[in-house]
Formats: sequence, C-alpha cells, structure tokens
Amino acid sequence: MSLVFSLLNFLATGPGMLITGFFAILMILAWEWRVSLIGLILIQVGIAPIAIFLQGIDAQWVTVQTLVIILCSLILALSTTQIAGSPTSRQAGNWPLRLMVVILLYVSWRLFQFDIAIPLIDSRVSVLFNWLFICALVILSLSDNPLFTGSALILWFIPMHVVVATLFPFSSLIVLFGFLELILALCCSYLILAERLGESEQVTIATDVTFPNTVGPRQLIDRSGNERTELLPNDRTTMDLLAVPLVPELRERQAKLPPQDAPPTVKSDQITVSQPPSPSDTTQRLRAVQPKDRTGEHPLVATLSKGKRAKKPK
Amino acid sequence: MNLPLLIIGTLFVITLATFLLRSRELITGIIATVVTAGMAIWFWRVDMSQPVQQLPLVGTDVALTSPLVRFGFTLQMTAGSIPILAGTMGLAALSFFLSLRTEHGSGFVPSALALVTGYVGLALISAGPIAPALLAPLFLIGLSSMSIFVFHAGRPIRSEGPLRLLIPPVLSFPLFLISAWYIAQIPLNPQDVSTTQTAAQLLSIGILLLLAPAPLHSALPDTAQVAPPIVTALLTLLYQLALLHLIFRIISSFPFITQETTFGLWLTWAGLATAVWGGVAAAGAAHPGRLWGYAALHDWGVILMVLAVPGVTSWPLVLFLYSLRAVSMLTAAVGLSMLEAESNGFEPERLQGIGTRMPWNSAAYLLGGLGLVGFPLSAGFTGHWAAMQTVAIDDWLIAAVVLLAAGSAVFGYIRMARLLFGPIVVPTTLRENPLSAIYALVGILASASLALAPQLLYGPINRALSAFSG
Repeated sequence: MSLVFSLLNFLATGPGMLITGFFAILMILAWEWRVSLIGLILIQVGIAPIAIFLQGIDAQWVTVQTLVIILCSLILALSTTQIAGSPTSRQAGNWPLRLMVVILLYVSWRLFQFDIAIPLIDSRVSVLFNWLFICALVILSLSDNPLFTGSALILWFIPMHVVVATLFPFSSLIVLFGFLELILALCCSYLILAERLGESEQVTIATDVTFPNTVGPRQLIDRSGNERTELLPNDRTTMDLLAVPLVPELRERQAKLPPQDAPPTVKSDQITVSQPPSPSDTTQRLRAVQPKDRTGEHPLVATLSKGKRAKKPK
Repeated sequence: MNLPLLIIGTLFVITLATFLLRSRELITGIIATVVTAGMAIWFWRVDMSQPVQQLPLVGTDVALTSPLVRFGFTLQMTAGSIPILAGTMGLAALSFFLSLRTEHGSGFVPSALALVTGYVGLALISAGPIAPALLAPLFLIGLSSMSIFVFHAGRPIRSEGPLRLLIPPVLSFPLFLISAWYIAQIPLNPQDVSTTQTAAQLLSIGILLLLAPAPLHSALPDTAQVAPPIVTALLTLLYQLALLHLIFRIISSFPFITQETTFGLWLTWAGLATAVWGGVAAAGAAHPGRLWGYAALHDWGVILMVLAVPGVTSWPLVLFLYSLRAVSMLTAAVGLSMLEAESNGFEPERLQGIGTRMPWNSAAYLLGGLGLVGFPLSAGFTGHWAAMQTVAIDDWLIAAVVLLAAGSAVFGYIRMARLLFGPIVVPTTLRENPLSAIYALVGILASASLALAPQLLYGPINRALSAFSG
C-alpha cells in the first residue's frame, strides 16, 4: 500500500489538494449514495499521501485508516443496496439548491478568509482540512437520514485522524479511532436497514372468498411506528372487489326480482354487458351471463377474452 | 483480585447470559434487576478506608484501589467514582424493574447491560494516553452509538432521533483533543497566555456542544416521542450523569476555562435558550411523549443555567436538580409506558378519555411531567425554585423568562390532562391492571415525598459531592 501512496504523491501538492477538496463538493452536489461513499474513499486516498509525505505519519497507520474507511463505505453501501426506494435514497432539495449552497460557501470562505490554524499541521493542509470540516457540516445540515449523516460523520473523522496522529502519535489512540469509525458505520448501517421495519403492507382485509389480496409496500402513516390493525374508511376489503356470482345463484336472484327489475333477456349466443357499478355501490354485483359462459370469471376478463361488445337484442 | 476487572467481567458475563436467555424476557429482566441493584447497594455501602475487603456472596478478598492497565488506559476505582457507579447502577436497576411490566423486545436487557458496562468503564478510567477527561468525548461517541441499538427495544422507530444523538460528541471531540495539545504546551511556555486562552476557548465550545443546548437539542424530544419511555429515561439520564461528571472533572482540573473565557455567560444563554424553547414547544406538543421530551428539555436548560453560576454553591444544586429530574422522568415514564400500551401507540381516539380508565398511570405521567417544569407540589418544585432564586441574584429578568416558559409548559400539560380525563371515545378501553396501578402509585408517592421532604436527598447528594470533589 505504501507503494500505491508513493505513486499518488502528487495529491500532496497544491493541485492534488484541490482535487481532494473537489471530491467533497461533488458529494454535496450529486447527493447520491454511490458518489458519497466513493467520495469518502477518494478523499481518504487523497489525504493519505498528505499524511505520509507532509506530516510524516507512519505509513502503516495511514494504510490501516484507508482500509477502515473502505470498510465503512462498504458497510454503508451493503445496507443501502437493500433498501431501494426508501427515504434514505431521496435527494435533499435539488442540485441547483445545493449548487447555490456550495457557491455561497465558497464566497463566504473567500470573503471572511476563514482559516483556523491547527497546531503542527502545514498551513496548506490546514486549509484543506478546514474545507473538509465545513463540507461535512453542510452535509449534516442538509441530511436527516442515516446514510448521508453517516457519510458526513465519517468525513469529519478523516482529517481528524491525521491531526490526532500528528499531535498524539499513540497507537492505542489510533486503534480507538478506527474502532469508533467502524462503530459509527455499523450504527448508521443498522438505522438504514431499520427504516424498512416501519413499512407495512397494505393488505386487503379478507371478508369474502373472491380474488387474491392486493398487496404492496407503503410508508407508515403512524408516526409512532406502529402498524395499524383497524380499518379506516379508505381501506379496501374484499367486499369492495367485484364479485362474480355463479349461474345457479344468479338464476335464483333473478327469479326473486320483480319483473320491472329483472335484467333484459338475452339470447344464447349473446352476453349482456351491464354498466360497471359505481365505486360507492358495493351492493350491485349482478351480471347477466350466458349459461354457456364460464362462471367464476371477472366480467372484465370475460369481456376481454370474448373480444367483442354485446349486441343489443332485436 | 482486580476490582475493575471483576466489575466489568461480572457485567459482561451477565450480559452474555441475558443474551443467551433473551427469549425469556421476564427472566432476563429479573436477573438484570437483581444484579444491578445488588451492585448499586454494594457501591453505595463500600468503605474506601479499608483497601482490602471481602466480597459478599463470594467471600473473596479484593483490593479496592487496584488498577487495571490495558491498551494504555488505566481503570481504577477511586472515592470520586463510587457515587457515579452507584448512581449508574441504581438507574439501571430501577429501569429494568420498571420495564418488567411492558414488552421491550428480547434484545433490550442485554444491550442495555452492555451500555451500562460502557458507562461503568468510562467512570473507572483514571489514566490514559492523554487526560481521561479530554478523551471522554471519544467514549461518548461509542456509548451514543450503542444507545441507538437500545432505543429500538423491539419496535421499529424513526431513525432521526437516535441519529441526532451521535452529532454532539462527534462534533466536539476534535476540540477536546486539540485543546489537550495546547494544555500540554502550557508548562513549556507559562508566560504565553495565548496558549491558555486557546485551550480554554476550545474546551468551552466543546463542552457546550456536548451539552446539546438548543438548537442541538432535537434528539431528546424526537426519541421521547418514538422510543419506549423507560428506555428513553434510562439512556438520557445515564448520558447526562456521565456528562455532568465529565464537566466537573474538566472544570476542576482546568480552572482557567472559567477565568480565560466567558464560559459562564455562554452557558447561561445556552441554558436560557434551551429552557425557553422547551417550555414554548411543550405548549404546542400534542403527542404525550413529545410533551414529556420538551418538559425534560426545559429542565435540562435550568440545569445548564445553574451550571453557569460560579462558585461552590452551584454543584450541590446541580446534583439536587439532577436527582429530582431522575425521579420525575422515571415517574412520568412509568405512567407513559402503560398509556402507550393501552392506547396502541397513542392513537388519538384511544387516548381521549383514557385517564378515566387508567387514572393512576395518567396521574403518574402528569405528575412526573409537571415535576420537570417545577410545578408546585411536584418533585421538581423545590429544585426549580432554588434555581430561580440563584439565577435571579444576577438577573431577575432571566428568571422571569424561565418562569414564563415553565408556565407555557404547564399549559401544555393542562391540555393533555383535558385530553386524558375528558369524555372517553373508545368504550372498550380496559381498566388499568392493579399491578401497573401499584407501580404508578409508587412513582407518585416518590415524587410527592420529595415535594414535601426534599431533605431526603441531602444524604445522597453529600455523598455524591465527594465524587465532584475529586
């Protein structure tokens, strides 16, 4: 790994630091989980030559830190890939808004000459570290979900690792740092997965044996996180689905109806396509079907399979 | 035998045992209650004047002050750490006992025990690569991370509240570490005041971030709304106890913090903003858990304001306020947990009039919450009144503003009381279980006792002050 960092020693120069700082801006502008997690790794790879060649930190420590950051990104990525369509993957605003934030940030940076000196840290490196800290704060302010908050917190750790290794070169402290980064990544990963625990399936309440239930994921409506167990007016039940009565049952019903309410007679090779019931009419279920027609079949299916409209009786 | 190893080893073994038995929630809860209560009593009664003592039940001699050195850190029990250990264990025992009545998931007991082990380890650290007080934010990051798993306690909750717990310690630890370097430079250049000022400013800002005043406060009301009440109370109180102990160690070890900066002024304004926002937001809170969270926030703001008062009089009052806070929060949590269970997660229809069927639990929730805002005849009244008198010595206007904010929170509780004791909507709501009524009654009696006789806490507070004296 030291050889890799030697090849990347151009990142320890001024343009290299600009590239590293640009990755942080890219994390804010894109606001996409792949860009954020890869950006973390690229920033750490950009910081590593600075730590080794400018700050004189042991290459072994920097290698371990790089591996830890890669591991943290992998942990978060694995969790994110399992939660497609969750709130975590949603954007914070839109890219013009984030572009304005970045521009405002840069203008303020130059206007107020923001530069906090960090002891024993090269002045150019200190500028880069301050920029990374501010970018982490911007990501924290724009996000309220585990993925991007976790990315911001890990981004906060990356330059601090160099600072701590410079100020206090104790191996126990470095180990504690890596341990905490992994713990943070695991916690945020857990929260990413736990967001899905609140999703409940909209199950059509079975009150009649008709068609399979309609299921689909939807977000919680109960902010306390509890699934509902009671019907609400908008819930669908199987009573709302169109029922197709069997022919003998239909004949009995027709026999009981008064003459003026009886459906029109039909010929054997015709079917009568009645008007579909209104959505609020849950009681009108009767269809006039031919004896030879298949029973137990939804009228719409029957219509489509016939492929023709009913002819009016002569 | 090494005492820190024995303590942490025992807790680790119990954690492992409860994890293996996690499907038996009642058994693990009872085990955890008995073990933590026993350790709390032992810590409280241990006599540090005898360096070697015999452990109860085991009969083994143990050196009380023997250190445990691992990975560059030294763990050692000191006279100053005993009240913190006893307090931590006592809070854990109470919470485990109260959680026996309701379901908290199979993972709650082992994960909470692991967290308690972490807090015990933090209290035992006496030496490290740098000053332990300046390393504490790093450990608080780890403990806050573990808290996230405990908060879920067997139910799916929103992630925003637990997630925000991570932010203050992560933002503050660089300030502590960099200030540690400046502090190490002070003896090398004693005439250079800039070093001292820089260290003091960094530590002041770091402490303020850790205290999470408004607007960094949002974790508390969010978690109070979604997480189980007893879990919220336990984790909040453990974190704040560790925080108060940390702040005292820093201020007593580095007194230049208050001399070189306007730390007292910042703390006063931070406390005022927190207390005012807690009271104002409580007035508009419709969710019982969120109302409770904002009341706790208001109380925390009052504690911050008392922390800002210079001199030796503030720390006894801080400890007194914290003790009353613990009693009030746990009393409210007792009632709130049963209300939540019966109302199926605070469904508005079920919550309406539930107090007519669950009067004792509703009363416990209301009394505990009012104790957090210092309502008369509640547990917190004497503490808040003493705090306002202390603050009013410097500026009566600040005390008046805090009282107005408290009144605003009381308004929120009046609205809640009208909801709880109004006409019932769901007539099938069951009456409260006699056992849960007894639990609530005990909490009410504890709060009422402290309201009528606050001197009951003088003994424990004087003992705890020894911790805050080094």
